Amino acid sequence: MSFLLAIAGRNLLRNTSRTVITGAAVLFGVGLSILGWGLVAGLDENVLRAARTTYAADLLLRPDGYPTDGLTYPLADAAPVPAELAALLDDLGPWTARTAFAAKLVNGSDAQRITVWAYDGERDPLVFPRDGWKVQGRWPTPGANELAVGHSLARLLALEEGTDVVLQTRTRDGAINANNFRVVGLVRSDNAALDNLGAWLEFTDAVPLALLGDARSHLSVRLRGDHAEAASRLAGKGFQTSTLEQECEDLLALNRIRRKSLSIVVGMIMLIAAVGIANTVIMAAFERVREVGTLLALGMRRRDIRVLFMLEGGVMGLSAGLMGALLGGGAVAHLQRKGIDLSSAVDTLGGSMAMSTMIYTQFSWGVVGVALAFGTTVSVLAALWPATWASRIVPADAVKAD
Amino acid sequence: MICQLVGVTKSYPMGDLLVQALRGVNVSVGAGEFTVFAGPSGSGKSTALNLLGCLDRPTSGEVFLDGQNVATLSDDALGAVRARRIGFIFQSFNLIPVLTASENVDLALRLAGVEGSRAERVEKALTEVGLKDYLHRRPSQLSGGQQQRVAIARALVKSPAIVIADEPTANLDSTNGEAILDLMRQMNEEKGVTFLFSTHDPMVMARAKRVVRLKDGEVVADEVRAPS
Ligand SMILES: Nc1ncnc2c1ncn2[C@@H]1O[C@H](COP(=O)(O)OP(=O)(O)OP(=O)(O)O)[C@@H](O)[C@H]1O
Ligand SMILES: [Mg+2]
Repeated sequence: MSFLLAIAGRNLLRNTSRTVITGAAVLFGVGLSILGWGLVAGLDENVLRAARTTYAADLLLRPDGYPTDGLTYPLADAAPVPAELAALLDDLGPWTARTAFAAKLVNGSDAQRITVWAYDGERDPLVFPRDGWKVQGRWPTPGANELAVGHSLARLLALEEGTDVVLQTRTRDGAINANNFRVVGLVRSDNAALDNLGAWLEFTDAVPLALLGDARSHLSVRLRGDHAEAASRLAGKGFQTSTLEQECEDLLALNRIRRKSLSIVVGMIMLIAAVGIANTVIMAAFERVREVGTLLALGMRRRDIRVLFMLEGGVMGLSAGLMGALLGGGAVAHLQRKGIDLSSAVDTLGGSMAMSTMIYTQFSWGVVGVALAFGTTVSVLAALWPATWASRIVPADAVKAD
Repeated sequence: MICQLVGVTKSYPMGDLLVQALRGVNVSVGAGEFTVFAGPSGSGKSTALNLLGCLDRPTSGEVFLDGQNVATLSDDALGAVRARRIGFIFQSFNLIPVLTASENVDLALRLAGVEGSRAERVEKALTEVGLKDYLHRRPSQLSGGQQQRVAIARALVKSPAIVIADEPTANLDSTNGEAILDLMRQMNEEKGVTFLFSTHDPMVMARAKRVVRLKDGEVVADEVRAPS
């Protein structure tokens, strides 16, 4: 077998350009599938990271009846946290309560409708460490009527550190109220939607502005244990729970569609590769009728002839696949460390998806292995029929003069 | 006796017709012979050699090798017989182009099922045909005459019962052709290797110890020559 492998390898070098062209399709298919999978896995991670680090944490609770689509934040639906629920949450892990509400941010003659996130400066960092965020300036000091705004919003309204603005909103009982605030921080979070339309405010200053009282719209829990099990214990306490995965379901479903499309594209490339390999092996068999006859005359068994040609397909598939894996896997591993920065693209498009602008591809040996095995298997199978044809050559052909 | 055709016919279908390549041939070859099949083109020389070399099966009749009737063996069984008992020298040399001279010779030993000490046997065989310094050349780096010497080494290395050579000199110029034939004759005389070959060439016939003449698929003459 190792001897047949050596012959197969050398045979492939006889017509290098043909081998290279045929191998290119396998290389491309394997490389693309690894890259594509790494990218979609990176998108999954991105979506989850955006939600986990900015509003959902591991487990998110909203008052019963509160909309979950993330499009509106009706203050009227916010509700106080029952003491019983608070005690249960304390058992689960660090948690923090926030209240989101719509407001109008006015800077001189410019104004923009935004979403204000009122938070508790003591508890919030326990749940949202804000590791990957970049803040120009600082976070608001409680009681000083200070405001942090998303960096895209800041650009839109020409806000800088120290800019004085007016926040205008409807209070919880429906009246209109406004207050002066000073912008002290420009925030680049992990969530483009927040960067575009979000502002952060301490409860101390939000309560008088919107007359919130103790009404809360979002309780975010950083779980120490299992998500589903924890969620089930919180039922019937006036708040609806949803896990991080449930929060992200729509975007994750989008990624599943991306995976399917990727499979179809890779499948088509592999089909082309299979046709190419079958063609190359059958050409090799046609060209080498006398040689195969000679091997048979010398006593090589038919099944070894077949193995020889299948090895030629397999070696071609494996070596091209290895190169594809090296390129695709290398790119994925590199982008896993460096990340793909989409912020400029998102800024110009004004995108407001609940996604981070940094995508870190996800390297996985499993994906590399499967792609490589798939490429090699396809190659070997593509060589099956040509190899069988070659094994039916009759030894008397060896002595025929050409 | 090493091999024998008994009442052998061979016909090839050609469209609706049957081409009668051999029409009842009886011939036997003994150990140590240096025998040539002669005859005009299409007379059945190659067909007869293919049958004696176990490359093909007769339409009717019997083919004996070492006393065994091989006419009805399976492909793999015939292959095993060829691998161990028969050496081939081809008109177009038929070396495996991706293997070096020594690897080509080694291949024959390997397929004959020889396990140990192959390297020494390979080197010895190539030395005997005068190619000691060309062990690691590929066929494309050897002249036609040298390639045919490698082929002779490949045929002889496994000590076969018989070496079959269909027009071994046809692709060589007369000088190289004579040298190859002299080498074969030398092996025949020094080591007692049995050779059975075919030719059109009077020079080759002149060096044979026995000439079997074929015409239209039948043996028409069988002469034993005095040693030259
Ligand atoms: N595979 C085949 N299919 C059909 N006919 C064949 C085949 N092989 C040989 N023949 C026919 O059988 C007859 C004998 O052919 P063979 O090759 O044995 O002759 P030969 O004596 O070797 O001729 P040459 O000197 O030209 O090599 C010829 O008529 C040839 O056309
Ligand atoms: Mg012939």
